[in-house]
Amino acid sequence: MYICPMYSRELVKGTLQTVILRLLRERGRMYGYEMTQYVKEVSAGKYQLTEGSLYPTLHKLEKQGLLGTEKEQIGGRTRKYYRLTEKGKVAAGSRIDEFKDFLQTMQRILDLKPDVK
Amino acid sequence: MKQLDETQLHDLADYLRIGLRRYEPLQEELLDHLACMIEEKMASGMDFKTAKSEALEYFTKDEVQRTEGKTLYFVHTKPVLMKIFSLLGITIALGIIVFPDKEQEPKPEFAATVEVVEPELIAPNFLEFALPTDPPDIAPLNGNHHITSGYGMRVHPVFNKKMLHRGMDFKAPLGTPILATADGTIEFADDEPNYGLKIVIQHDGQYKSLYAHMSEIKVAVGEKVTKGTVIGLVGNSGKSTAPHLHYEIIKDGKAVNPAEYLPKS
Repeated sequence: MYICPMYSRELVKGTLQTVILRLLRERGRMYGYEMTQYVKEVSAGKYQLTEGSLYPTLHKLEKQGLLGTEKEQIGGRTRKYYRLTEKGKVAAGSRIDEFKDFLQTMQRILDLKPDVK
Repeated sequence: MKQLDETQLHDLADYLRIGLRRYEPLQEELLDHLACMIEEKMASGMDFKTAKSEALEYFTKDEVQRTEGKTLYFVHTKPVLMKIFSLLGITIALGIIVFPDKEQEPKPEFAATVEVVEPELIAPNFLEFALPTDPPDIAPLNGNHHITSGYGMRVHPVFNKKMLHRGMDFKAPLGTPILATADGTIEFADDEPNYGLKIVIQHDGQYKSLYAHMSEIKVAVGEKVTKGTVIGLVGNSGKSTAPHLHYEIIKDGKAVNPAEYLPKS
């Protein structure tokens, strides 16, 4: 049985954009720290979003027009919330579909047993 | 959960203020992230000092610089590089098509090939990405340069005590149009106790301009404006004694003397 504290950087890097888009589609608007905490909780600590990968990706998606932002003053500092644009909602859907297909393909390539979830 | 006070936040902000190029939008986000992390640790009983040193083990200076570098690449460098390459490509393509006589005989064929390949790949990017903006370099009021108070230490007219005047005051009649002094995006456009009706424009990673005491705001947060766009009208809102425009230029998070960014007249 595979016991690992955290997934490798490569795995996280390849799925990060899909995770962010899906998260914002379901949860509406979130700020960076909130995203890392939510993902950490749901993945029981295995999928770690570091600031070093999260913020550059968020800014990249914003530049591509998939995310919109709004700022709020919280306790003496500025908090930046991210939400999906219309273009982002479409992208979220297509990325998730692509990933589902990818999972099935990987099962075939790696010859995983049918009962592996 | 208890929130960090101003001193503690300044402490963290100073730590983050490192690296050769400071991209302030990211700095604000990292400050919020770091503050949340520390507040959570403090909620479990730690004091600020311990919580901070634990959080900074995770948030090393190298890590911060790398994050800033990667973000700047996606937001600034990559679009600029794309623009340079597309300009180069179009220049080469045009140069070969327009001046075939100067070249040897085989060239016209080559020109045809280049013409087909280059514009297809590059044209969409050329339209999409903008050149980096220059710092503000025009006056915010058309023609009207009557400066009543410059940048620097002075006795504040309302609070009646010696304070740093972070910008310049231009006396002008109520309703005079105020112009954006460089291209950028509207970061703030709302009412505020001291500055009254205020607008802040984010120009590029380094510069912001601030316009205060307006009577009317004509833009919305998130809107992209070009140099010379009317963004509001002169007023007397907030802590002001007479209709005027209070104008600030903020470079790398610090207010600098706007006089250095006005045209020489």
